[in-house]
Formats: sequence, structure tokens, C-alpha cells
Amino acid sequence: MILDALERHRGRGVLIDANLLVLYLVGHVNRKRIANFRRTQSFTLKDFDLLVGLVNYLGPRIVSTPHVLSQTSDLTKLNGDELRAVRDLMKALVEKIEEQYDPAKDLVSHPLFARLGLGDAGIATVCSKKILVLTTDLALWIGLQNLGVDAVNFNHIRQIDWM
Amino acid sequence: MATLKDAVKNAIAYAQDALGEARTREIRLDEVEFDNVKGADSWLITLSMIDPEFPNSLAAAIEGISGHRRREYKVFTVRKDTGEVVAMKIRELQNQ
Repeated sequence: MILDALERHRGRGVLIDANLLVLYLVGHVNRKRIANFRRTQSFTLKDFDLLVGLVNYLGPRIVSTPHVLSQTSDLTKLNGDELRAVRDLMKALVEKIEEQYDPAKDLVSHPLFARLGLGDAGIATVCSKKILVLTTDLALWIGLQNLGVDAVNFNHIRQIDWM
Repeated sequence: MATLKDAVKNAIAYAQDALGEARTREIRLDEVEFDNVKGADSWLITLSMIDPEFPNSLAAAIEGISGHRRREYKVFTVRKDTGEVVAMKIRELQNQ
């Protein structure tokens, strides 16, 4: 089922959830930082390589929302030169990303808002338009599945050589 | 210092030991979070297994046909410094 979803969405656009976008950015700035930066300690170097491969496979179209980008910016507070590098990289990425959004006054009526909040309601709304969501957030993944939105839980892919 | 891969393996082994074979069928990694728990850096690892209480009903048959089977979710707290599993809790998720 995962492979079907990836194949179906190849080249059609992917929304990368904030935790994975943080990994993508931090890993590109400094691969060695992944293991000791608080926000990426739930990932390995192999996960980063896998993510880069997936983004290349699904791209070049990357879709995002202001909520995801804001979260990503807040979660990538590296230090010194690495902070400057990650901001430069994020700037370049955002300039290429297709940003989509719905007004908050609409999102608060979305069924996911009460349980998961504004950001996840925004993802569900944008990705109901045939855009694949790549996430590590279990509650969001289940919520999207229940709504019929195509979503892949990155944990289900990366576990393959762990189990 | 444990690696994340060690931590997941330890959580799976703990689940299999504590719950037995029947309750750990098709075990799957669903989420990993990193946090400080009671002063120790820890991974909170959510694993899921096929729900053994849900095998013979009409709903289960329908879910089986659709490729979706009901799962139960448990979160394991694993210390980063030792790799030891220090807690296992049920994780309630709505509308699974």
C-alpha cells in the first residue's frame, strides 16, 4: 500500500510535515548534527538519506502550508554558522515550494481541528486536493487515513531494516 | 549510549516478552519522539500490533477485506543512556 501511494503520487506533489522538513534541512546543513540536535534525535543518518531519496522520487513539486513552514522555522534553531546556513537553505527551499493555505476561520471548522489543531487541519485541507502527505506524526496519519487523504507514515518505511 | 535502532529493538523485545506472541503479531513502528523523562533523555517509541480482541467479528472481516485491521498502540519509554525500557503504556488514539 505504501509503494502504491508513492508510485501514484510520483511527480504530483508531496507535503512534508514539519518534523521531516526539520530533518531535511538540518541534515543538509550538517549530517553529523542529526544525532545530537534535539529536534532530530528521533532520526538516524540513514533516515535522512531515505528522506532525501523519497523527496527526489516524489518531487520536484513540494507543497506546504504557512503553519508547517512556521513550525519548521521554529524547530531549526541551530547555533552560529549552522543557524545562518539553515536559514539560507530554508529561504531557498521556500522560494521553490508551492505554498497553499486556507483561512484559519475555515480551518477551525475542520473535523481534525478539535483534536489535532490548526496546523494539522491545514495539512488535511490542502492535501485533500490529491497531494501526498509524508509525516512521522501518528495521530495526524490516522486522521488523514480516516478522511481518505493519501498519507505515508515515514516510520513505516524506515523500520523495514530495523525489525 | 544506545542508538535509536537499539532502542526500537529493545522496545520490540520488551513487548514480545511482556505481551506474548499472540498480542505482538505484525508489530510495527508507528512513531518516535525524543524527550526528557524524569531527568533522563529518552525515546518515546509507539509500536502497534494487530488487536487480538478483534479477530472474529463482521467488522473484523470487513476490515480484513479492505486491508485494514484494527491495531492496538503502546508507547515505550527507552532511556538513551542505557537503552533500557523503563515504561510501557497503552496509547489511545481516536478513530483508528
